[in-house]
Amino acid sequence: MTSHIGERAQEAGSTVLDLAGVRRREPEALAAFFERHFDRVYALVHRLLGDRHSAQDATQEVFLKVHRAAHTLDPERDPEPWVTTIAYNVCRDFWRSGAYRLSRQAVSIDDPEHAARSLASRADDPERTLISSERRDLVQKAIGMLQEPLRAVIVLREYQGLSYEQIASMTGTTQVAARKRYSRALAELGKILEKTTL
Amino acid sequence: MNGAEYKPGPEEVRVLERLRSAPAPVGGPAFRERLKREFTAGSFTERAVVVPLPPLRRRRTGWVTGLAAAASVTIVAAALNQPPQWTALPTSGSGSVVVNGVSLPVQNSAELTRRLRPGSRVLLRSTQDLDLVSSGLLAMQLSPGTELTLPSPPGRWFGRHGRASVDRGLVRVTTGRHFDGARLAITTPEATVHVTGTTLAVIAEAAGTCVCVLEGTAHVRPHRGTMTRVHPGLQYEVPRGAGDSKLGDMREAERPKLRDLRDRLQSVMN
Repeated sequence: MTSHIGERAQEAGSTVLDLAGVRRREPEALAAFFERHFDRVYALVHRLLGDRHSAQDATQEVFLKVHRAAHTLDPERDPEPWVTTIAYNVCRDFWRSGAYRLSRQAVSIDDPEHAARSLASRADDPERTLISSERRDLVQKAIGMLQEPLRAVIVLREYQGLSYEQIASMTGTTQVAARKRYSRALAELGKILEKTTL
Repeated sequence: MNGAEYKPGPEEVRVLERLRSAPAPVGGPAFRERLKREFTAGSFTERAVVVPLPPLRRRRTGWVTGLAAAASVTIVAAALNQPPQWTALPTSGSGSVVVNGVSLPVQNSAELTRRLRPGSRVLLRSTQDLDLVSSGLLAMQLSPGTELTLPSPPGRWFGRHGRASVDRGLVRVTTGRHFDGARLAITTPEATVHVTGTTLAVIAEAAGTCVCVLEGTAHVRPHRGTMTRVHPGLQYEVPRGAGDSKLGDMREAERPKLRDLRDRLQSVMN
């Protein structure tokens, strides 16, 4: 099964981060750290939260937390799991926030039928289905229709390339439960996506 | 990646292909530059504050609510199912009644009523009969010298089987209109009498048990023998020692007393 992990490893190997500089909050080291992690953090929180405004707020929150906790960074370790954990926790806080719950109710994405109809109607337009951003939006909507635990597993597994063990540790569950959630998430996504033609 | 233990099926592979074919969301350049500046400078602009709420507990709340509702329904149903409790009617006799070892004047019907509970052991030491009534369901008349365990009157909808025991003496029983469908088993040293709506007398005497039926039918099962149906106007005698049980005409002395009990308590039983 191929995933984005190899891609990430290459990226990781292309530059050597000055983590000690990050610990000291040196601007140059922080800038390099930001460049290394911004895209991945933004993509993760966007996939988990489902909309651009929430993603921007969450990304800002993540980097604020990273900055505040920079002195705790272990320069001997890959910082990515640390950053991913911070990002996931920020998203979890978003999920629990009143504003997020209201926004979920307002767009009715809890209603799979409604969302599926929306997906199908948009997919009927042959011109738009050729646009990759449209494809991204459709997949993102499908992911957004999953319950948060399922969404977290599918995003962390497929787009962050985490192992079930890492997902279990991050989400506070067991490896077996994480694997079951992954399987359930795929099954539900299959049902949602089969109603679209892309 | 630890994926060796899970092999996605064809459907799942199709889903995964669609997930992977979707390009990653990209943050806008303006937002990226602004955040980078803030991050490197350590000075973040005012932002939306995320205040996490306690986790939703809908499922747990649902369970709790469901359990509470079920408990409430059960409690209410159990309360409504309760039959009328035993009431001791005033008597002209003198003497005492021993209820669970406590001796009370037989004239003090209020105190007697307060103490009478299903399962109470009752011994009548009086010169006159004592009537105990569970309104609409069951009435029992105890003769002097009778010792019995008071039954629980049958519930309104469930728990409709009552059980009493007469160790010695004479108990006359008549059932009310709410007794329909209920059953009362009266055990004596020699037999068990099954009452399903009738007026009868159960006499536990030295020679054995005698069941006299005025109305309806009663089923009598000797402890050593088969069950016999006893029709109105008949009695069934089960001897204490060896010997056969006998079916015959009911004792003439019992007929007016049973009739009197039925008629006198008609107003509270029907």
